[in-house]
Amino acid sequence: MFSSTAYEAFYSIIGLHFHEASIKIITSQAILAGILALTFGSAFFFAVWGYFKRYLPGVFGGFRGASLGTFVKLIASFLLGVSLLKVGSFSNVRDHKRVSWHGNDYIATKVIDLQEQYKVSFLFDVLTQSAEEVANFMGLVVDKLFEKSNSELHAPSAFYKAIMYAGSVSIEDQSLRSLIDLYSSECFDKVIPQLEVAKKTDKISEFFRPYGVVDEALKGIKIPTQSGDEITCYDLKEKVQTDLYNYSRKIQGKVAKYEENISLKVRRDTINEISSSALNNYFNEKAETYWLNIQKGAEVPSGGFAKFLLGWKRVTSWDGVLSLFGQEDLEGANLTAERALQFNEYLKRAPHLKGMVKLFLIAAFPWLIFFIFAGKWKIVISWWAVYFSVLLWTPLWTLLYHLMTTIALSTDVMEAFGRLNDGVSLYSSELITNKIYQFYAIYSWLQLVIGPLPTMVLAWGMFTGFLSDSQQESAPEGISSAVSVVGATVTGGATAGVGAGLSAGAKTAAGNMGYKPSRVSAK
Amino acid sequence: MKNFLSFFMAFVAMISTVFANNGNLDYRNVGTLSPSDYLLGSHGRAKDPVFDEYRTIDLNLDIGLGADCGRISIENTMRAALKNILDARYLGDMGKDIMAASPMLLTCYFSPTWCSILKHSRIQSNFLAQLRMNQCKAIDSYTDSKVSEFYEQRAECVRKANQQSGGNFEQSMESCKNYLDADISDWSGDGKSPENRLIESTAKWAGFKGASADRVVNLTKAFIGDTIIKRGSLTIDYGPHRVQLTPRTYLIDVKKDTFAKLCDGVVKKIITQGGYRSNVYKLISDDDLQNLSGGADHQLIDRQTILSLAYLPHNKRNIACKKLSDALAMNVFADDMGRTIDFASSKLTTNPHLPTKRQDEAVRKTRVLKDQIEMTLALEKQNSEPLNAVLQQINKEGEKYQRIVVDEEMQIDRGHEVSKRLDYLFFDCADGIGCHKDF
Repeated sequence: MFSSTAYEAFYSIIGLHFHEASIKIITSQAILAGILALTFGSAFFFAVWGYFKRYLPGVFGGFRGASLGTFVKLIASFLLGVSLLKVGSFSNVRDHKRVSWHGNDYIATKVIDLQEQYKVSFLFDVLTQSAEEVANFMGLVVDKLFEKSNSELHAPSAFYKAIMYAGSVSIEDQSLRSLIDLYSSECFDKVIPQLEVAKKTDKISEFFRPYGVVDEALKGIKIPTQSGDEITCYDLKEKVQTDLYNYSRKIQGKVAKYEENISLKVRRDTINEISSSALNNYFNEKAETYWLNIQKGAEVPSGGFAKFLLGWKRVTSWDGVLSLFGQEDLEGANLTAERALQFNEYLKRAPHLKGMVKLFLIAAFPWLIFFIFAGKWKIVISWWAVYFSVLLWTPLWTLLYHLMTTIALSTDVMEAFGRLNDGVSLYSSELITNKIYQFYAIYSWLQLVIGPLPTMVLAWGMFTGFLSDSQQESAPEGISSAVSVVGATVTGGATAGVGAGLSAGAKTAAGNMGYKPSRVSAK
Repeated sequence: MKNFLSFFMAFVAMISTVFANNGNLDYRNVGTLSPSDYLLGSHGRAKDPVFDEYRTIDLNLDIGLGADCGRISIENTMRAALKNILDARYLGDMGKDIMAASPMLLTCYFSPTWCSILKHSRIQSNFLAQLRMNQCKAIDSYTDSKVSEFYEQRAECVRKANQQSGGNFEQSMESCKNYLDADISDWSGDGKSPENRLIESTAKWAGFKGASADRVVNLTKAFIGDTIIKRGSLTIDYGPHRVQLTPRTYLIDVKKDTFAKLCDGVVKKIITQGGYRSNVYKLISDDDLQNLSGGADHQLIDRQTILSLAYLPHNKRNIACKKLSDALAMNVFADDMGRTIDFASSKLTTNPHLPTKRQDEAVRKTRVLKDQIEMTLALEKQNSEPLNAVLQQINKEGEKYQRIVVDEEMQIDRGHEVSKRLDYLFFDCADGIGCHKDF
């Protein structure tokens, strides 16, 4: 079995656990064996009855007869059913590089009694392997054909993750925070009016840019010190830049190590991106709701700069749009943290869903024996089809991921990456983070629609058609009553499945034997 | 990128040098003042170069009694007077030079050179001559009945000595110094005494004792001078200050002293020990606070205010500290002046043991002192603010910056926790390539 994330693998492994346990329960509990025997016996009895009805008086016949083929099918179903419970193969969960997930930390810390392989039946192994390999092949083809930034199969959502992580950096170095605070409160307001020649759209970034146009103005502003020595805003700027650069390097160590593993094809300067994001986040922290969700820097001695910055950001950012729709929970001082946490939820949502569906399918497989013993062997094909459709979610998601990434890396985002390569650009950092978050939010919701929808339609068609047979194949009232009585005796979780299986088995057998219930008169 | 890197490398050394001596830069280095910060400003005169440097000459000189003014030899008197006055305390070596030129003194007395020398020494020649003549007249007209007998005997001795010395008044006074040991009635009402003091004797009469009373007595002496009648001499004692003070110069002194104790003392100690991170409750003793409260029987300033000052930006702290020290000084000044004027008006002018002339003198001096104090307070009104208002403003500002510091600390803690959580969530190993254990 293939799984691109540990979330999905976790559920698959749990499913295999249940699968193994189910086989043990079915084979060890006498009552279940009895029900199986009763099911098969009833089917066989009605087949015999159907075969010999021609020799019986009319009062004992009335439904279709059975041929020798009916017995062959019954025996084949019996053998097929038995093969479901006969464990002789092994199954495990691997990533798309065929490395088992059992050694993964996420799995190891969450699964008790973790095994590398689980005992399964040969039939289950054949069915799952065939579906998995076909889906894996399709996924690889799609991944190779549409790959834009990184392989989705080998590193799911890695590009978005790298950007969002770099964008979630908060400054925890107290001295650096103090320096930025001092620099912004003591120097910005005094120089901003002199910035006519700076870029109109990104004035603030000029304050952190090497060889910026504000340097001369900064040199003229003195800052008092305790020792009485004089330093200028220009000295302070250099100090802030140096410290910010060093701080970003520490964070960059993590991101770079992560990106080494994903072969990211988008060129960008991670240090500059982290520096810009860290500054953006720092200024966000310093803000609080002011008016129309524009925020003010109330906690710094001089709030003029922060007010200017945040007002400017609101105009150009996704936050302004969010505020229009009343989603203020994504704003304010917790913006970045909240957004990163929500992004993390998006990362998990679809794999969790897929994993849970797989868990159900894998765990339910041994219980199909009740249907098969009743002659409903086609349910195995239906199970395979549904299972395969679930596996196809991954290629669909891969395609979607690459499409969304292509759209996300639009011209303006690529331009923004270019600006980040030049140095600190708060505007670029804000734009990139907003866009990436926005596109991943859309992607995660589309994942939930594009994958499960076809599976639901398929499952609905196959299982409802299978379980609600035609009127001609419905069981006689006497048999239905017997089935109900037997079903009522079964307790626990097997009740529904077994009852349904028995009923279906009886109905199938009766149908196969050509039994047609006589219309009971109302009198 | 290369440019960016090289830029940082080039400046690292320079920046480290620039910032090495300044420690951590933070919000306390903010120099910009908000409009309300200007309320903290203090604009009074910190020192008075004219009155601080042009000291009143010590008048604890034996000016003698009963001089024959008409028979004073100007030359001999000038020579002796200059010997007394032009000592090294005031003129340094210049006094010796003048003395060495004594044969020429008479000439010099009227010559431009001498005038130039004296003028340069801030002692005017006519002042010296006039001083002696005035003293002589004052003594001649001294008609206090209490000392009249002593005066007559003393005057006779001086007259004789003056005849013998050829008109050298100083020599005559010197020779008659111990002529008579007669005691006169003690102005404190306690029998007779060889020495009577206008202020001290009154204080004794009024039962003023203890450190607090001494402070009042000494201040009164410094302001109006304690007239001493002693064995044939009249001297004026200005107390421990040795020079006469006016209320205004005293206020300046108190301000300087309070500033030194507060801003250069207590606050500086806190700042050097870590500022707001230091334990102000341990570092500042009760004595430190009491020292800042002058003669008040309670502490005018508390530790919280010192802590609030420590929270303020350096620039604002300097301004606020000056303002606070001025307000404290004004409080101490007002307290001292109140007690001094109380003493002068209620004790000095009502001492029944004082001769009538002395009583008149006391009333006159008290009135003058009162006028001076009122005038000083009126002049200082523009530069002063009630202590409570200053304390409120400083603590309000301190509270604001304390909140900033606390919020900042909490924000860092919170940021740290969020980062840790994000690390675990983002790199939870679920994608097989990003595991927090590997980073």
